[in-house]
Amino acid sequence: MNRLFLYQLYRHSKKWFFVTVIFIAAYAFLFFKKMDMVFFPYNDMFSGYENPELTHEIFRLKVNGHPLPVTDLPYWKKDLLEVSVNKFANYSLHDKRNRLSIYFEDQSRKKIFPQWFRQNLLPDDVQFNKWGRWYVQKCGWGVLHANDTLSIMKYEGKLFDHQFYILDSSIIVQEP
Amino acid sequence: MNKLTISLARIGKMLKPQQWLLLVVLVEWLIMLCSGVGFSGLKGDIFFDLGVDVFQWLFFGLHIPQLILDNYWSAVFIDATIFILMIGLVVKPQRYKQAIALFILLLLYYVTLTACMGHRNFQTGFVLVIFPFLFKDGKGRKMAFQALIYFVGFFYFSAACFKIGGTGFFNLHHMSEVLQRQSLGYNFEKNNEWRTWLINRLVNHPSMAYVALLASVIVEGATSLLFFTRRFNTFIALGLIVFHVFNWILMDISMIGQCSILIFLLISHHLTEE
Repeated sequence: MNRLFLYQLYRHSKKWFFVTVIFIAAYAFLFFKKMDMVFFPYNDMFSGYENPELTHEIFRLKVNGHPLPVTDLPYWKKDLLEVSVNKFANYSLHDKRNRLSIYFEDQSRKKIFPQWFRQNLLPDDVQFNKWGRWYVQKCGWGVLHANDTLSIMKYEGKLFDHQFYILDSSIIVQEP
Repeated sequence: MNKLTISLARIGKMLKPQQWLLLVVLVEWLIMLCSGVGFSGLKGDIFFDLGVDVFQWLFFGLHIPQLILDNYWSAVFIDATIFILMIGLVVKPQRYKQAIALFILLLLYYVTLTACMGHRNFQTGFVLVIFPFLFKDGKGRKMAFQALIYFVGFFYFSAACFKIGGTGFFNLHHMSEVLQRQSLGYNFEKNNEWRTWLINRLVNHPSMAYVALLASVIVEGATSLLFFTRRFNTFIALGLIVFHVFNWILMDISMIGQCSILIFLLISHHLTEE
């Protein structure tokens, strides 16, 4: 009993003992609800088997018809650019609504938080032209000219013999 | 050159384990800053996508990240403040009030970065490791270090449990499918670096890829020992470092951001002993 961490903590500080118990209970509840938290993911990543027959989707931003490569960039920058173009494409596909906008469309969830707070959790009406220019600059492409064409492409395909074979592609959003 | 090596060795001897740990956090954060994703690097990114996560909501609901990213100089100011606080804490780790400010700023940074990415990259080690420094140096801090060991144990052990309980664990082709999905961007861009070559070999040999999955489950599962004894902490930390190196090579999930917590585990006996 004396060696138990929680018992030692109780003897050292009752306040922190209760904080710890509440923390464990809160995380147990969130785990039960299959929710991710900043510090502690519901980390079942890569545990589920996905149907290999399905095609893979990939999104890339194009400047004047050239897809911008990201895989040579430093890891965190690559992660930022690779995932955010995917998220922005989905935002454009869903009439400028992201996951959280859809989550808050449920009436019961709307009541929990005040309007101003909810509004802050969602991006303002993001113009592709503006965001795309930031993205291009971040990729190290340089400054864009007024007549340069920006577009987000969605590629669907299969990986076979180390090659990604594109079966279908579509423009999600384009400027000008 | 010799003089420089000698003075670096002297500094190394002078530093205490807590200072070494904070130095690793500083280096990790500098790597992230230099790769262009510090506050100043994120300036101008007007799109963010939050998860259903109250920690992210707290900062964004109060409009703090938006205000910082709105102005280049405010972003530079916050980056500089983090740097100064880190240097200050490396010099004097007992400054717990400074650690509180640093912890809040690093949490704000992590929340902002992952919101701009649109997904949570769970390399939170560089933030978590500051937690014990929020307590005055003494028994309270040692207990916080011990609590952090349990947290790390649960973090990895739960991942092992999910992998075993998931639908993919008993499928020989599961890992090669995962590797295919993870390397999609590299194959799409025809980025034929040595890693892509290695991943493609594993994709073609599902049984070898499955061995990698089994090894990762064993390493993650071994963290359950952290709850019962301190004897194996060093071995578990070394195992996790190898696990993260291969995670980086094969799954393209970098260990930058998580190194601090691994180093913490490696030297944990120095930090928790009475």
